[in-house]
Amino acid sequence: MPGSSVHPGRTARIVGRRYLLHGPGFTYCITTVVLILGAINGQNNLLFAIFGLAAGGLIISGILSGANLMGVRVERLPPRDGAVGGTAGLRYRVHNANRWMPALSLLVEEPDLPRRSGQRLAAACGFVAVVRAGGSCIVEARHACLARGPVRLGRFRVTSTFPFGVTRKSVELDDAQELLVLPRAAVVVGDPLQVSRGERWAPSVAKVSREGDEFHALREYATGDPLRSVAWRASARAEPLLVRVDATRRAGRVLIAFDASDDRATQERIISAAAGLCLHAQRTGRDFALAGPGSAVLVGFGSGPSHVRASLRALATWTQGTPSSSGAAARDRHALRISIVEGDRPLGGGEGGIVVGVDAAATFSHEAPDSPPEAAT
Amino acid sequence: MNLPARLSRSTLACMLLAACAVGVAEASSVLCLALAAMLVGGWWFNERASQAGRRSVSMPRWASTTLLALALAAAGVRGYVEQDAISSFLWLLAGILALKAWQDRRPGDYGQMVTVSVFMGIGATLSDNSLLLGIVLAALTPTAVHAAMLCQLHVAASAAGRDAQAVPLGAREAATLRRLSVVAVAFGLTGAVAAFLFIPRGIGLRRFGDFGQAAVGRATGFVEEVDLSRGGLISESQTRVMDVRLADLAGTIITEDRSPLYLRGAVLDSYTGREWKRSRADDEARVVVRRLTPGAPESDLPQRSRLRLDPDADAVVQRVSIRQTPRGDATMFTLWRPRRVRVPGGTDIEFDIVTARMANKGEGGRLEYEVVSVPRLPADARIAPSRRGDIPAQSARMTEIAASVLRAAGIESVASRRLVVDDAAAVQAFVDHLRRTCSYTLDVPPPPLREDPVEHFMLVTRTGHCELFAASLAALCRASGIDARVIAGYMATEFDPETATYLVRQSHAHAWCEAEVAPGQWRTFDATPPAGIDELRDRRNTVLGRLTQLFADLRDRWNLNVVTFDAGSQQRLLGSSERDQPWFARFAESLGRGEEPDRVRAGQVVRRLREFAWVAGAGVAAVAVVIILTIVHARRRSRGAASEGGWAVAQPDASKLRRELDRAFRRVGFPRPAWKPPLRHAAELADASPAQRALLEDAAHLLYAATFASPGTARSDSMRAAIASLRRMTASGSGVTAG
Repeated sequence: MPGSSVHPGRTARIVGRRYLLHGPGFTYCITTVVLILGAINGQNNLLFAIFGLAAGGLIISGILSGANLMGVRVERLPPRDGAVGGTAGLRYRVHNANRWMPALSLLVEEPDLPRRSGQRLAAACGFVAVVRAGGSCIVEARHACLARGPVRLGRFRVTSTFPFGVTRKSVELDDAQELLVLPRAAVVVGDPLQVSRGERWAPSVAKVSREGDEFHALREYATGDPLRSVAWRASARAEPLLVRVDATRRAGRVLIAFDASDDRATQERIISAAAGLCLHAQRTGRDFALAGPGSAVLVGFGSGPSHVRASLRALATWTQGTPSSSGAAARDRHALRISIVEGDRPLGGGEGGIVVGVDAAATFSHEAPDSPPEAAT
Repeated sequence: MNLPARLSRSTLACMLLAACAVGVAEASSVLCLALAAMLVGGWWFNERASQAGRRSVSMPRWASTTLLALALAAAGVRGYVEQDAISSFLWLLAGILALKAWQDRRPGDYGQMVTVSVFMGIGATLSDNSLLLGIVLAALTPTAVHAAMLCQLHVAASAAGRDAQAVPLGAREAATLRRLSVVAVAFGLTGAVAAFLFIPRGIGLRRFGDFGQAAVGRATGFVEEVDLSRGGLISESQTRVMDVRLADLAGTIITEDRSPLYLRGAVLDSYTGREWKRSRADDEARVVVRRLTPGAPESDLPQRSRLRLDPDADAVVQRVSIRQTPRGDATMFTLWRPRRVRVPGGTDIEFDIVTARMANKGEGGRLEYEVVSVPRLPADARIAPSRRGDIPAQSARMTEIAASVLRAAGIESVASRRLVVDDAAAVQAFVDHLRRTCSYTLDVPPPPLREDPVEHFMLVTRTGHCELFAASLAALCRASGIDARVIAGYMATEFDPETATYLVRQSHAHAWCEAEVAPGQWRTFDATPPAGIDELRDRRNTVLGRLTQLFADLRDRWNLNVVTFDAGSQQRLLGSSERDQPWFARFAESLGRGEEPDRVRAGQVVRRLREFAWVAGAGVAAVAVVIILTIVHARRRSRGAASEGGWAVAQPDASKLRRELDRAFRRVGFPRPAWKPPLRHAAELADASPAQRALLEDAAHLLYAATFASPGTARSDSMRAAIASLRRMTASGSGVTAG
């Protein structure tokens, strides 16, 4: 499909131009007609001149407004994901290819976006006052994110009523892209991932490092090792110069499994809590995996910003199929299960891990955060 | 300066010019100043509130609604009392504008204020066509165009949810807008000139009543009926109406000044309902219609059999050229009773044998004619010593006044006992009485509804204009048994000795009285004090008078070339040898009548279209040259910025910052190569003070943010502060060395 992806320097395809005579334009035209009637009736020469002025204004309005948009080329920059409660900024590079005429008073908007996005995004438009002839600039429209999920971006529109507001001109462009609205991440209170009965050292995942915080081993000195890592006392007892090797303490691997609920609001709270836990796990340096109802793994174990982003995107795109009626999900539809696992076997929390209620104020706060999740920005 | 500040100033200028237009149209400097003061006060109030960072104290809805209702009511009352819808409309618009100036500003308000200002300008045109108004409109046009453009920016920014205060509109953007305004105004003026020159005149005149005509009564001018119930200030319009040359019967032009000339127009012999009107003249024996063909010799007009005068005794030929006449019934002005008439272009003449009123029943537009008349009674005209018959008096009170005046003059007051030979002295006694007891003014308050205007003038106000003097004299004459009538016309006093022509202007419109001093013998009496005429003559000899005359000349040129531009002027300018009217006028007229344009041959149309295409092409070429020159000039000015390779296109302050940064590098002895980024170059400065390096690095960071980050990241005020700091640093002149 043409325009399905955006490459640098490639502009969106123009699919149509529209000229709409709206209220002020009708008023202008009617006034012009009344002027000529009055001028003819009264043979009032100043009225004849004013009529000519109005008619000339009408023509120059058409010329200027046509030229205003004729050279406009717009490229929608790759959209950044937004998060519910925050905004998704759709950015456009507006280039004025006209060599003589500047483009003025441009509004860039996604027509009917709330309806097409399933009310996931609110309407908004970007504005630029002047784009000089041959120049370009970036315009941003900040849409409020209302619900998680993918949003397909298609046609967008550049409109202007410059110079006199007589006509509303618009250029419609097509550029298919997709934007993902991530779930709102609930604020995690405390550290619910410290599963009281299970979290412990995981020896197989110890990672050797000189910058660690626990002693791991001694080895021979090698060129380039800092002097402060030399184990002087041990070296005094042995022949070769030894250096101390520390190990980083490794937290447990956490499986975050969320449940399905028939109630949409409850389901969204569960998703929000899961997103909050993902961010919390990343902040506390834990590996984590994400599982959906029926222990279906959505994202495997991992860590780091990209892993968090993948988890949030999985949560954003997760849709409830047939409601689960077995296992833990069937027991409590308002809950998350958190398990510490080693290999494939849960270590803490019993058979299914511990269950955390998503509405428990001691654990989650579902208030809108002041800023969107880190992964969304 | 940000967008709202520029828009606010443009809107204020627009409103002030509209106030001037209304002041000119209403001939009221007080109204103009009061409106301007209210507008400036409201603007200042809102600006102060805006600068203080708070919303202005908005007027409550009930208060604004009440004020609007009051303005509507005032306009309605004014329209009813003065019978002037245009004036009421202007007052209403002025009230709305003053109201909006004091209200809290919302995004759409600026557009509304500009629109109301434009409508005020148009409304003023309906009332007045003076040179002063033309100047005001010439200033209003570009101001309104510029304000309208700024309004579109403001409304669009508001629609995008952006704080309009944050929309930067630097000098470069403002210059762009100004250039576009110039282009738009140039194009609009081209349209105005084209419409002025090429739209056919004389078609459709008064098809919709008085709509579109400059309101009568606001300025001096000839009227077909004298309505004494109207009040208000009457301004003296200098619009040129006609030229009159006098000659004798041999054709020799009379070069001596015989002013004042009383040019008779409407003869008003019926007083009903506070108005002097013409009595019905549909009697075929009384009214004669003469059809004059082009180039025909003079046509004799029928005369009353009772008056047998030698037509050649002291006869004067008047060559009259009226610049604009309406179609169908246009009064023709003559000195006294016309005897013969000739119209070179041919037309239909209606002549009233009783009142000697002559009217053109043909097409409108310029009218030229020659009339032979005898301006004075012959010296040998004898008046029979008969007695006067009874004439119905206007009122008992008027009879008492007339009797007391006559008794004071020693003349018999009872009509049946007074000799007819004393009637002229009686009328002269009334003239003296009126000139002695009443004074002349153009500012007349309207009389009370239940009171007769003439009695109110003679007994209460004792000040008035010529119509009141003439009506009072006629009423006194009728009250004393002497038949009298009011004449409306012009009193020509402005004689140009170089051309031996009387220039007749609107301000020369006058009303006087004719009294029947003998059976069938009517004599002219003018009760208006002649001081005004003397003042007009004396005024020309002073320095101020000469300046006034200079301005009057300008005004005359304006009136001659713009205000009174008619079909004849159009014909002379565009040329048409075959017919009297321009070809497009005939074409449009034939279309308007629904006839086949059989008179317009295809070849003529093609030839005229070719001529029109030449003229239009030349106009379009001129406009195109202006536009191209403007664009070339603009590009030359912006070439420096354009060569920066797309740097800081969206933020003009960034270009300035970049230039200032480079200048700072040069001044500290470490010029930046074109290939090196400013931040890296600043980092390589050695031996510079930490403050200087920090300043340069901060400026470089700002420049990067303005160039590469999203809009709004680098604020204009931050960049301006950085530019100022760099300038201070370079001014101090401390050098550093490169590392």
